[in-house]
Amino acid sequence: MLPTISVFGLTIPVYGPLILIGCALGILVAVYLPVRRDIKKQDIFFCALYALIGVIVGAKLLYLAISLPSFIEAHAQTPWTLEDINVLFTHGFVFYGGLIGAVLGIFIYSKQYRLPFWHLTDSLIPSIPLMHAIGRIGCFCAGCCYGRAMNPPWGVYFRADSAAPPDVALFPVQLLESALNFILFIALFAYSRKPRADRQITGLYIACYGVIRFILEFFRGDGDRGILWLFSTSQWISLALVPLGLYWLIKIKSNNKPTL
Amino acid sequence: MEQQNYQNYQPAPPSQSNGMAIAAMVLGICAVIFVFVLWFVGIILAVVGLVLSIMARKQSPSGMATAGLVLNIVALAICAIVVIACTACVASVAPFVGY
Repeated sequence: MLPTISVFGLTIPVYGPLILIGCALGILVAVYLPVRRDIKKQDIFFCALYALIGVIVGAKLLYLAISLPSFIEAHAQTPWTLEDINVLFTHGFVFYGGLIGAVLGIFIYSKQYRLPFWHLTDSLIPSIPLMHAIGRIGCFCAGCCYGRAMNPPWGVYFRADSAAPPDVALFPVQLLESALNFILFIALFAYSRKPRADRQITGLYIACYGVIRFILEFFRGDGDRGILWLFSTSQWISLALVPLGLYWLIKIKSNNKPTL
Repeated sequence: MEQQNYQNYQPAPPSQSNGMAIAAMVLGICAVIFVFVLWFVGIILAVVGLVLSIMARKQSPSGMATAGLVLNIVALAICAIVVIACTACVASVAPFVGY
């Protein structure tokens, strides 16, 4: 829709600033509207930065794991250029890889400074759907992660300079995912206002997002989805995460004492 | 009398995190420069610098550690704005692998 903007004569992809705004808002929410009052604001901020590093590394690594074979296949006949390597590293991040990376980042921080891992995780989790929602608006602007071909009014036409095919009306699944993530953020935020046992907030998030992602994947129309047997890679990850989330949400509740 | 005061003066013990704070600040400056020249090197420097500045600030907060923290965050922010074209998904690769 709006892949780039021009600022002082410099053409900037819209996706980057939106990701930046999402991260900044997510960290601000985590620091200034804390879920747990037993964690210092400074620790939440630093832990969020560790998680952010994990997001960058994890999202890129999973993307490379999924896409590298097709990339290598596409370049079987033609030699690799610097531009190809640049595209490989700057384009494409996988959300679930980022999520796993973020959890690893939080884990490293909690071990390094001997802080309770689940308190930190539960504190940062409500910010993730907020960041994700803003990021998906960036996807819509860039024209990536687009939906299946559908006739208007359900389908929209993307600009020729965007990543989506320009001559087909496509379902704006990015906006639907963004809206659902905003709703999930509000729900998580409301849920975390009351004292909750460890892992319950995280459990609610991964159960809800797993369901959302599993369904939305059927509406995706973009090319390389990393299909394994019946489902996409993200759907397989969702299938693993939903039962785990439900277990944490329901089982832990009965075993654990709520804390704030 | 004045000499006696000087004799009583105890110099502050050298901070253990001082070296880390300096390293973080230097890495931050380099990262901000490299982001425009060799962005990939810039990201690596910023990530290492960020971890070092957090470690330095956790040990003993100092101006240099804070400067390192800010510079490394700025370097990563510039990367996000300028370098990352798109996207949060696998799909983005499709237009570039020639389908």
